Amino acid sequence: MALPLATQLMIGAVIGAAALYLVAGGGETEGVLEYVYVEKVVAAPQTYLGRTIKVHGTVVPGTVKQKVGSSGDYTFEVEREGKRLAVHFTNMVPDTFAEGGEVVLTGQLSPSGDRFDSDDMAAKCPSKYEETPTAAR
Amino acid sequence: MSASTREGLRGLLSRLGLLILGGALLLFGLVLFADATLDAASVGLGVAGVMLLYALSRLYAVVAALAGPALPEQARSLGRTKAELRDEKKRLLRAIKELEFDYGMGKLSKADFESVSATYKARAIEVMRALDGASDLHPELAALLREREATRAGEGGENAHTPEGAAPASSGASSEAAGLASSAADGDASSESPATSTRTCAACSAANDDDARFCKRCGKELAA
Amino acid sequence: MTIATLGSFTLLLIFLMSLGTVGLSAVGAVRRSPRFVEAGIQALYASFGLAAFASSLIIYAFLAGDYSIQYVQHTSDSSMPLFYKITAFWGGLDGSLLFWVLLHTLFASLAVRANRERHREMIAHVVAVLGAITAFFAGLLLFHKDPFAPYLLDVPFSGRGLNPLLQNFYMIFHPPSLYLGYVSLAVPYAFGMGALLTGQVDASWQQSVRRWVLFSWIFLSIGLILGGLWAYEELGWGGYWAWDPVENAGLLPWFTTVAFLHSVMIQERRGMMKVWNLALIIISFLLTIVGTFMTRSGVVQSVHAFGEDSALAWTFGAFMLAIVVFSFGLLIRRLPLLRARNELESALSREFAFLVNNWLFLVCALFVLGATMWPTFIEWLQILGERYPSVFGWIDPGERVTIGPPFFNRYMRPLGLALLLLTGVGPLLAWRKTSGQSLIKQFLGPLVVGVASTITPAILGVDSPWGLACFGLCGFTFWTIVQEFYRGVALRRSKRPQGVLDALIGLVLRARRRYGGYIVHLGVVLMFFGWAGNATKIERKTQLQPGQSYPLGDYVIRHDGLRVTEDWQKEMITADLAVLKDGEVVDVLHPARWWYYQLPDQPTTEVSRYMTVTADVYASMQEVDLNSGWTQLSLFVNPLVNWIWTGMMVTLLGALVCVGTRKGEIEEA
Repeated sequence: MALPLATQLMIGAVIGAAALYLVAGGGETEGVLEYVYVEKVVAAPQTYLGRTIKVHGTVVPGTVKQKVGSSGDYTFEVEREGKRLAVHFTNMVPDTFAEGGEVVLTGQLSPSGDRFDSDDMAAKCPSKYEETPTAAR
Repeated sequence: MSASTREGLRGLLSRLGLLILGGALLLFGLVLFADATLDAASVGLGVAGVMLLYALSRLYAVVAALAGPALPEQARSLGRTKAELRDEKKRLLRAIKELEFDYGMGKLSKADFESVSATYKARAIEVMRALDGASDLHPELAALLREREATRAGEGGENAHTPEGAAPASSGASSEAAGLASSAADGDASSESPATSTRTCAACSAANDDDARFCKRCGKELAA
Repeated sequence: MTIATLGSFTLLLIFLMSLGTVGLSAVGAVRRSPRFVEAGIQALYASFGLAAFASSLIIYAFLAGDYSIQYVQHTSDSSMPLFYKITAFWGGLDGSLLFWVLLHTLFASLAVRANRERHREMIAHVVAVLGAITAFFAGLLLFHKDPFAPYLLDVPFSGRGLNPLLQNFYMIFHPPSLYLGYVSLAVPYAFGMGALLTGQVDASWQQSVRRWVLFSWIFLSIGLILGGLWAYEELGWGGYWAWDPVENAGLLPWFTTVAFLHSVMIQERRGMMKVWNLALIIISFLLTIVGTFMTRSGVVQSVHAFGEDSALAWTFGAFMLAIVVFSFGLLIRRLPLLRARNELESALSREFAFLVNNWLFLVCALFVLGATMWPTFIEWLQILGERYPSVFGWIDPGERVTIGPPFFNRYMRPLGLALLLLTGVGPLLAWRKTSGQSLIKQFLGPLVVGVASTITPAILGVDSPWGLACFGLCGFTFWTIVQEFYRGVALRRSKRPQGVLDALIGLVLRARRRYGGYIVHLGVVLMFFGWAGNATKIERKTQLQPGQSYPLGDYVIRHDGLRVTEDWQKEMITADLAVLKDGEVVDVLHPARWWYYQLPDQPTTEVSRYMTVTADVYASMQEVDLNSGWTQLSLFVNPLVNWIWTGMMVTLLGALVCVGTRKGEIEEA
């Protein structure tokens, strides 16, 4: 062992870090999603076409409709700062989903850019939920 | 738990008991004389009252401490206190036990075991000597320690801490320390081997005197 | 005087008293005056008394239904059971900060009481540091989040009540358990700082705080596992850990305390890594503050919402900066005293295994912290760029992102497995240096078992490489532990004739730390075994009508009908789902939806599961159409999941063995 131990340790640490990076998928960013507010999407929908993003907004009261017969197929609108976006949601809604409540939807814009297709939602109740805001999935 | 901790805890408990008793009496009085109804809320209020009393008693203690007679300035303690030494002694003895255990489990080579164990033991003796308050050493032990120190300095071993006052003088106090170290070192096994130099039995891994020919535990002949 | 004014006044007193504690102790420490030192200690006790008084006042307000206090009105109502009324104390932000102050002063008082004789010279410094921490939180309560704040105009007559989702055993004990862990870490920090301030940086202060750290670690563990159980049994998405920022915040100090508990052994044995250990204590404490900030301020959810309330951010920011500057400044000043007595001698030594363990845990903590805070950081940059374009305009932070569980899992999986490997390898290595011969003797058994336990699941049909690696490492580590126990018992029995069980008990009692540690390791192995089960997890969403069946792995789920019932609190729709295995009904599940009258818009999901040793069949119900009987179901088969909870129990048992002392053993109060 010609090298001092400290140097060996350093080399080991670098190799370890590189190994972790490679083993973990080499910079794969699955699970890292852009997080946008409704008004930004409405302002420039073409920027977000074809990508999975998260959209944050408030469910507009009175717009929630559920397709009869096949539960889990919802349409509603989300709004923020006066801008509205139509949502087609194809999954079960969480317990905390409510009209007027804040939601964060994961999904993609439809090719025309005027509808957001989502199948994953985190809902935050406007009140009484300050303790575990992300607990509902 | 040491005696002081236990005493502190006992004091705390007795004071707490008094406070609770006082609070209960207060509540009882309220129920009896002031027609208060004893529901959860009044119990809560009672607890609050007790806590207030405690806080006030501590506040009084602050004032009492400040107004108390001026005590002599706290001396900067240079030497270590007995308690610390006792702690260190126990820690060392435990380390020695654990080391022997590791050796018994076959994790250490014999050479490593001997060198590490010797440093621990020398240190334990030094600590015990300091605990005895004796500034003197058994001459043989002093010589042994010096010799060990020299070899250790040579190999750059760990824990190079010299027993600072290894002045040769005659006293029996530290031979007791040596005995202690070795008996503690063996843990539950009973052995009277000298502290610093042992031969280990190949059959049962008991520590034997350096000049022993047969293992004192299992009776097997020790390898030359 | 109303309870509200009395309470606010008490908070003011706590604040002043803790400032007094700092002042008195500082004077006592500088002038070496026993009078001032004693006064400082008594002032610390007094602030505990006052905090207890304030806490019992607010509990009284809850019990008596004093809805003139905003906090009480927000989190309780008169119909709540007594138990929930008391625990509503820590149900919201303001109250939980008061709870923090209460626990902090309690722990501080206990620690000072137990150690004031042993660390006579250090204690004044310790008290001053503890007092300063109290002052910060008391100040926060007083100026920012007063739980006693009253309604000034229209006093409501009834409370709003606590969210039914939170009226639940786990939710009652999960936050305070994490809190106990968080708050008790301030004690080791204060002792570390005391050691640095006085220059008495030998191992004796660590002896005194090692048990506190273990204690914190136990409570953090309990808190984390309760959080996982809550998510698993209440939320109905079939999992227990989603890298939620709130949970991550509890995990951060957990990582660093584990690292400390290991590296402190190197310092005790070899006199190395003193700076590192102090740094770990500082970082752990800092992470508890960061965690409190993250979870209690909502900063992670949205900086925008938080930006309107920037006072809290600045206060916390300044406090954290002060801690960093003060602690690491001191550490650097004392560097000459902290030089290591020994060098690392070989990579095949236990020290080295511990060192790598420490690195990995620190990497875990930094990674989780970074990934949790990254979105917030980006958003911060955006805000700064908008507000001060001239200064920050050149930075283009890009869009805000969110970092989801897949990203965490991707990196934490290899890190976790590497740590599991170390758990297996570390105990096999000797201190200083392991010789070649003993290497074979030590590693042969575990390696054989490790290989066998990789091949067996592969034959049984597990094809995920991560799952196989995890099973293999579990086998390897498990055998390490068995071997340690076996050899220990054999050694003990060779010394004195006794039964196997006697020898085992004697062994554990004699070397509590070592064998307690191995029991903890055993629990960890069981937990990893449970996680490995994720490799064959089945997750289905489906809709069934009564009478229909659905195949789910080895099982068949049959919808047997719906029931509508109600009690005084809520209306319930329950589905009866028969679980069939090989044509036989093994269990009937009852997933349900509950509508509390109090919160009709937010139905809760009641999970039902069929628990076995090998797997959970887990069902939760979403939407129901009572006319047609269509029921929307989430169905899961979670293999081995119950081993996680079992493993946690074993881990805690081991930790308790480590904590326990017997008479005559070294006291580490």
